[in-house]
Amino acid sequence: MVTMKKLYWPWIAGLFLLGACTGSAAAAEETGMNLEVIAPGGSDIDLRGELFNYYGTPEEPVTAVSFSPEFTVSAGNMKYDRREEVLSAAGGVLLYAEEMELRAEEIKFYLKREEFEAGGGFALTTGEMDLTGCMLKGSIAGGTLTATVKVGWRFREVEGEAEKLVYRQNEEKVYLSGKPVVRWEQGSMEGNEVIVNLETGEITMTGPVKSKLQP
Amino acid sequence: MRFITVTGLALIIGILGYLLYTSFQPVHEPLDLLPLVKEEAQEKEESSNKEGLSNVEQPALWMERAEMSLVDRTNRLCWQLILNTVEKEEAFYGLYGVEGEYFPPEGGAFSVQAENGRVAKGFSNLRLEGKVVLSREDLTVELEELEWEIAGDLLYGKKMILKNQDIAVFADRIQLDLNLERIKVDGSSRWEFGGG
Repeated sequence: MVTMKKLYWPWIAGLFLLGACTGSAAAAEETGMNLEVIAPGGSDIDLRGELFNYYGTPEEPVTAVSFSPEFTVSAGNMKYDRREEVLSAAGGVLLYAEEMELRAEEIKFYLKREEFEAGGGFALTTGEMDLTGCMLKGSIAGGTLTATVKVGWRFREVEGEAEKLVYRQNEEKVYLSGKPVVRWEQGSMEGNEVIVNLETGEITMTGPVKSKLQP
Repeated sequence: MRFITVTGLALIIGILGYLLYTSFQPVHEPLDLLPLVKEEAQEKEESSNKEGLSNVEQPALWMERAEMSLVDRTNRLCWQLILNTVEKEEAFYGLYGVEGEYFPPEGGAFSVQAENGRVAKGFSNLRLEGKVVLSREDLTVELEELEWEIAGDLLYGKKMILKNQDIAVFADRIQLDLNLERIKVDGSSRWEFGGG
């Protein structure tokens, strides 16, 4: 077992993002939240079916601004199925929230289920943390955040890779699997699974562990 | 003999007088689907002259408080409008002070208001202009211009503000289906959800 610097911030930031995205929709529905969508390239709606399509132009994307909580999403196009409460954004999606930026090729917000999926490759940046991968899923109800396929993460001087990263809120732990690697200035470790305890800051690596230390 | 000549002359003068009288009378044109018409061409001409507008060419027909009903190609009633005034122009009727109702195919009439508009001579096309408002309990649509065609399946609008219970849409150029349920926006639009 190896103890490293506490890695609270990435996971707290991830949770914050989860809350920002899903909480805004709930607020929009129940408390009359102000959500503004600007579609420069046209739009069409079906009022009876409650389906909304928004299109950007090559020069200007569709922009959705939430005022409470504050976040902005821009994308090549967006779809909003109000009946199913699903908001989809595709084509260079950029989500800004306080001190945070999420880039993805597509993002779906399942507002009723309080879940979201970012696909086609994503990059999450917040404060001193970067997280990249092919797919990011989050569930506010389940309190989980899952990044899969070619996951890369960095926090200050510590960085690593894995095929899968799972954060579980109720355990306050992060699970890295699929040849997880943890690197820092003086060395690196590789094993079957890495468990990061956010409360204690301990990192537990299981399975055959390969470690490399440099002077 | 003299009596016959005098009587004949009187008869001829009478006939000529009648012909002259009828030839100088204004022609009354029937106007389809426009009941309650009050023609005031003469009055208008006189009043315009009084106001020093004698140089301006006046329309041939001027109506007040005219009621107009427009039907589609299946004879379904689409518009029932009361027009404060109607002027007959060369290719259309100019409408001023428009009020009335619009009847979507699937029911739920909208009340209609517009500052002015025009309807084609064959009543195949209606364009409302100025501050056009279509309102119903669940939906209000304000436009600067709205166009309807007898053979069309769409309404075309410009500068629209659509509001329902918690959505507001601002758009420059739009197409609406006849039930005002599907909206297509060409170009830029802004949408507000909630808080409106």
